[in-house]
Amino acid sequence: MNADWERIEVIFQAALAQPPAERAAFVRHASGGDEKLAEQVTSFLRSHDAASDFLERPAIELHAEEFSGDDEPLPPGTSLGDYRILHLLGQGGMGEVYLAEDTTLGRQVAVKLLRRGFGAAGIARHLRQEARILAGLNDPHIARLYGVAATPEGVPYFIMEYVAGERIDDYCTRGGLTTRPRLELFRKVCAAVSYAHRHLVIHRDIKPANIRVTPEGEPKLLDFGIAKLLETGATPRTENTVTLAGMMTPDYASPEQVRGETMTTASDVYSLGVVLYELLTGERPHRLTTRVPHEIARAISEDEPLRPSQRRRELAGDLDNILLMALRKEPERRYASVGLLSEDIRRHLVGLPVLAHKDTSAYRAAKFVRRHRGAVVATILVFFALLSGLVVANWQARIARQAQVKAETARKQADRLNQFLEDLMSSADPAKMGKDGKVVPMLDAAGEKLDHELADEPEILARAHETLRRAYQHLGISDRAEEHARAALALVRRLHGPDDPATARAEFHLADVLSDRYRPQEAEPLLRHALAVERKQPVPNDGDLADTLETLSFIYATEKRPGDAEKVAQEAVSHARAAWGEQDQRFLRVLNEMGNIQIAKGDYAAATPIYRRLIALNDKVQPGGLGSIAPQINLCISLFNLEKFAELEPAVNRLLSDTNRLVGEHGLPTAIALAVRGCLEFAKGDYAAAIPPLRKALGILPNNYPPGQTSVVQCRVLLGLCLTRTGHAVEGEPLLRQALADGGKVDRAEFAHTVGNLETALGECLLAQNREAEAAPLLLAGYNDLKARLGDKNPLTIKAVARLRTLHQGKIDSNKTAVSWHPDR
Amino acid sequence: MREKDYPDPGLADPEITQLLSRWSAGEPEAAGRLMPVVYAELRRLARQYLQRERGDHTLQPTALVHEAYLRLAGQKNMQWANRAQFFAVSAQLMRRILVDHARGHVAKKRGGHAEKIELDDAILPPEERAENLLALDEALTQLATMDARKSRVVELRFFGGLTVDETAEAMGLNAATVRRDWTFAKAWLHRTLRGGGVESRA
Repeated sequence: MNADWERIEVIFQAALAQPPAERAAFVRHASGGDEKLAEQVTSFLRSHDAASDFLERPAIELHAEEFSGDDEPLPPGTSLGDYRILHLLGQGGMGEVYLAEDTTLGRQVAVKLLRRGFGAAGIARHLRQEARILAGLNDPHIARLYGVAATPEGVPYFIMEYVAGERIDDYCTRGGLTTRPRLELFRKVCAAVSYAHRHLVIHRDIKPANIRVTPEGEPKLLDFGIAKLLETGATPRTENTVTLAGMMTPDYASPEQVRGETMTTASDVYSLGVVLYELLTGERPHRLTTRVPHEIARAISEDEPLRPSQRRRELAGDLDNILLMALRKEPERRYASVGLLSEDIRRHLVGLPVLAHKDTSAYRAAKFVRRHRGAVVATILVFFALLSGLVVANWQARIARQAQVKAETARKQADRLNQFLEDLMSSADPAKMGKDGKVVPMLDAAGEKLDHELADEPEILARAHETLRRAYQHLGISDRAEEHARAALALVRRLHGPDDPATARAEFHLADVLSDRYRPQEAEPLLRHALAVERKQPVPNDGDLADTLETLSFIYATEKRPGDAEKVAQEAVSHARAAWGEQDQRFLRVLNEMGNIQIAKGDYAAATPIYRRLIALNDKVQPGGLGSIAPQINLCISLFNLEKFAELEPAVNRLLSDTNRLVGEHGLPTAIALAVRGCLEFAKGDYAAAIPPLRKALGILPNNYPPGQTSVVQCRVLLGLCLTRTGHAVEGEPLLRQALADGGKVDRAEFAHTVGNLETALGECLLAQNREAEAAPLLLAGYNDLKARLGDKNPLTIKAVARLRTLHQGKIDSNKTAVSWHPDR
Repeated sequence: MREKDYPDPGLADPEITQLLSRWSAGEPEAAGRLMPVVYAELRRLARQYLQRERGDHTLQPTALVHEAYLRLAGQKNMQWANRAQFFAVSAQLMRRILVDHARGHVAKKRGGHAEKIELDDAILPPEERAENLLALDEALTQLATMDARKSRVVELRFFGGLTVDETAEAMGLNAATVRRDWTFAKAWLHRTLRGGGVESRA
């Protein structure tokens, strides 16, 4: 002990006796100008504050389970069901793994006994269900899971393929493999992971210990999906607080995993990246120096890995780029699939340019209809790819059983699908997929086969429907999205019951699609139920809550209940902040709702700066991404309603170029952008210029919206009027008639400013065809309607009067009439 | 720690008695022979405990340690100088047992003699837990060079599972001193283990 140490302690103890707010001043004072001393005491005080739980639970308690379960391995010869234990292979914290003989099939298997962490109640139903999916994985490079069973005492065990081999890193080191064979071996691992992904199984725990290389030099992946099984099957633990035991060092875990967020196929891409990094450099990307969980999470989430070439110079170039792309923090900016990672390595091996250096921010996505829901394009494409792969696999399985001729035909089909998959995966631009029109027929084909192919696999079928829902919603094909959302919900509800979070999430997805489709009355009860379930969870999921609340806010805004909308939106924002932080596109998406509320109130002037800010933030967080589309559209609509046409012009131009680039010319956001462009030209009086964008918009909008939806009706009216005023009244008439019929069907409150206009518009069209007798009652009705709603002095009413006068004068001055555009949002 | 890592713990009773007294008399090599016995006893008790209805009961480590030592030492009518020595020995033993156990884990993690199959990290990785424990052990040893008393307090409290009062009694200190030592030592350890530097050694 020395003097410094004692002085530090004396001041430290004395400071602790002070009220917390006064400690800093006390330490300064007590250190008497010795800055180093003050600094050290302060750092001790900081550690003291952070260490409240530290070491408070005795060591024996933390390790009790290891003690209790370590003992009494099953002696050789013990029978477990159909399996006879040969000897112990190894032990882990959860139990032991034995080499055993399958007495019915006469083969050797590995039996993993889950002694700890599982209640004696036996295997939960979902454990079996999940295990069935895992057992379906049949790939030479994946160790098979044969099944799950339980001892008479209820201790569950897995029966797995026995793999005699060594860890991939040991194998590479011992064999002195150079970089090229390491890469080739690694690509085989990728192929196996890719195969599992096509079966909708994520590994979740890829690390060298789980990759074995057989004596023949073939890699085998162990424990596919087991991590998930254990997570869902284990009894809840209590020691996950800041105790010594809770401080894990998740060396291969992705940022989303250490943050406890949803894991996707991209999480496996990341873990594979860490494995490859280690295989090539001998070290891991992050040198974790801390043992504090949230600091580990922070390091993995924020610290950039050292460039591999800084550890081994010869890795500079392609391999640097490939590894860093696999290790990107944001899942959607990594390789969109394991297949692409593997393909890039192949390209490197054969000397082709790799894709890795390319900026893939275009992958980053949100939903791109008016308020983007944050479905990530890359994820959608990957999941879609998985689904198609599944169908391919099933086809191929059938081929094996079919006659040669039939097999030929089927293979061609499968080839086409494979080709399609390849295109899908090699396309960095998801919009292109929509553009060349390939995706939709493929999705449709997959959708038709689904129920038949997967009838026996309700879990997979539900995932597949959910995948298709996302894909269709991404492409803006809402009717199909709704079908699949409904199918997924029905399955999930049957599998998990009505009050399960999974069901709540499926309800949210359906409500989300319904709100896209402008059917708030149907969406609202779904959201209310989902919200109730999500709030009831012992550990509520902030992200899910933010999503549900945001959509509910949107519904309220649509229903012109700005007060309710605002309340719900504020709650959504706080959950979003908790879930994602502010520098996250998903947070911005929720913030967008605050602007929508201003629009719902009719306060476009207040909405405009909100949207401008959101666009700027999105540009910062995700340049060139889909996140800014929603605020851009909303800004355009606000500017239009404020009649700020000079500002609107550049805003529309950017919007159109962004939507075309990001979702293709058939996407819903593009349609909305085109509609705004049409409105602008119309407002400027350039009717000829307004016609093409309006026509294009009308080619898309009715597929997404119900007939009476404001935008659809408005586009028809405007196009009908433009045609009338450019001498094509005959062509315009059916459009105007349909607009009137549809417009009259919906709640007239929605059309407070427009029904009268619909009538006068058709009247004008008929006048232009010299059908005064038919036009007169319409113009009169229109006038009366407007007068009743808006009063005598309203400019629209005055215009209607003018038109009536024109009728009486027997001619019409078309350039002086106008229809105002009042979009809903 | 595995059964096969240690010799058969079924030592004759007089031998245990002798080992305990030799060790408490300061013969370190006696500890090596004692450990398997104590280990087996602790493990047996822990298992027994865990096999009871779990419910919301939590393991009472102090009770466990006491029971183990009373069984080993007490029933042999051991002449322990006092309870303090008894506690101190128990804590030291627990520390050694756990640390050796952790070393075994870490050593086997990479190509040790027994193949370790890692399947369980998703829930609570024992290797990481083991590495953390080893780091703590090292830090505690370092602490002992600067302030032996504080290191001892941590040993008794964390490894021995003793309360502040029990620690005070075992060490012949008053409870307030133990509480202050504990607070300061925890802050130092936390700071050291999270990579906050060890400049306070100077």
